[in-house]
Amino acid sequence: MTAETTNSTQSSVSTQTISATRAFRQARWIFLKEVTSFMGSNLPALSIGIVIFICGLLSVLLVMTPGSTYEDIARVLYHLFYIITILAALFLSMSAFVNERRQGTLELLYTLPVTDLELVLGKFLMGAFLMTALSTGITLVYVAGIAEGSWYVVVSGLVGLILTGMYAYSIGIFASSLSDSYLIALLSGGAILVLIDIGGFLAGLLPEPAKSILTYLHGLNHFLPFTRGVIPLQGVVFFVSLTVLFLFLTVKVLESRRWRGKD
Amino acid sequence: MIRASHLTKQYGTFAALTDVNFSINPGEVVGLLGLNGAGKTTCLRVLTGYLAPSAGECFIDGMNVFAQPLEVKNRIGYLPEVPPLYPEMTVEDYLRFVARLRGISREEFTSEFMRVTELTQLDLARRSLIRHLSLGFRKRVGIAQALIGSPPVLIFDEPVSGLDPVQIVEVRKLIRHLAGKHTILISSHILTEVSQTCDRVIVIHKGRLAGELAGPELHTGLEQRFMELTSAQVTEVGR
Repeated sequence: MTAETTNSTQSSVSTQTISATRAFRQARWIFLKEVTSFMGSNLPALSIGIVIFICGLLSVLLVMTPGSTYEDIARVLYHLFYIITILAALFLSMSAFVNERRQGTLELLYTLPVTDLELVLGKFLMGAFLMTALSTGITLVYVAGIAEGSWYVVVSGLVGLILTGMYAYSIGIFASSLSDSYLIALLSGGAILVLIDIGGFLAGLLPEPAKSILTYLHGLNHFLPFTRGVIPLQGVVFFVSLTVLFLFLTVKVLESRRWRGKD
Repeated sequence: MIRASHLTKQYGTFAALTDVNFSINPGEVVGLLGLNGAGKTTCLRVLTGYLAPSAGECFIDGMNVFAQPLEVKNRIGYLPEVPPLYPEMTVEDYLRFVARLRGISREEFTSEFMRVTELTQLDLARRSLIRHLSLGFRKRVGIAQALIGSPPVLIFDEPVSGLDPVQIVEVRKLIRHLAGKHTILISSHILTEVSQTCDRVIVIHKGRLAGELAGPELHTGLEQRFMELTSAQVTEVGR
């Protein structure tokens, strides 16, 4: 390798490092803005209150059910938390871009030195933070505390819930980027999630390869091993890859406004 | 400092801008004058990189808006017609957020914040929640965010719309104060507004450049000249 090629490679790596550092710095400011906005609004706090209330009610009922072991209770709780986490992610993410559009602040963000990727990353960081906080809270209180689940079930279930939350939040962000209505964002996000999960339930009725594809896309199937104290690589890959896919699609939707002529 | 070259923007089959060419020198205050729906906002949005042109190019400080978007955005302070504000934030938090995205450090922010709040007379509202501010104050916050980091180019879309007479005079004074230090492009459909704040006026009509007015023309017979340049629209409306 010549000295010139080495210098050029080093310069390229250095430029990429600067771009990545810049992207995370800008995404961090967007994230901090999201935190400020979150603290100043009522809807997200209300959603979290509702989630905690439902979780509490259900887990108390389960613990009081005679004849069930702690492991059974932990497993049933995780099934419920899977649905609750998805619903919470959808409710919390529906305003991600809808609010910006309604307030006219998307025009501000588009004309500041922030790329679409940094903007989406910042919004997603907020989602990751909220989902981690929510999953940790309900798992520690209800599975570890009330249901007295084993530590490995608590850890694996927590990882599963966080991944599920991030995956659902990325779908919610994507749906939010498509519309300027909360309801449409919520319904379209819900429709995407239902299609992915309902498709899995109907997979048995279909011939190959549709059966295998729909079975693979069934989120609940990937989540189940997490409730049994296992962290399956296939499950992790499934949730992470779909999260990345929907974040990528969100960036593409934002980029398209330049050509469509509206945000 | 600002150059538009054969700028065209289509929304489907509707041409919002057609072959618009103009250039603005450093330190100039230029008005973009036109009737409602003439294409002023579209023109500003293309110049700020918010929208892509269907054809043509635009340059800020010699840089192509679409080839070097981040460099260009660092050089522009933009105020849309409706100030883009987060109502749940305080003025200080909001300006800090904009400053951070513009790459202004924590240390630099304090002096920058003092400077822009003094210029826009926001001193007393620094810690107020934006949702509690009047429209006049909100407009000032919008102008303050455009001034953060002292970008060489300022683009204001209808900066005095919705303001009372006293606030209009204050904004005019501010723009005249900024003239020379910044290149300023203001869109408006109010003749007196541009005649009192601008060195030169670009008239845009039905998405096309209808003409330019400068010097004495801005103060005497502006109304007459503007009517001539936009007569096609007047005739159409009169039918």
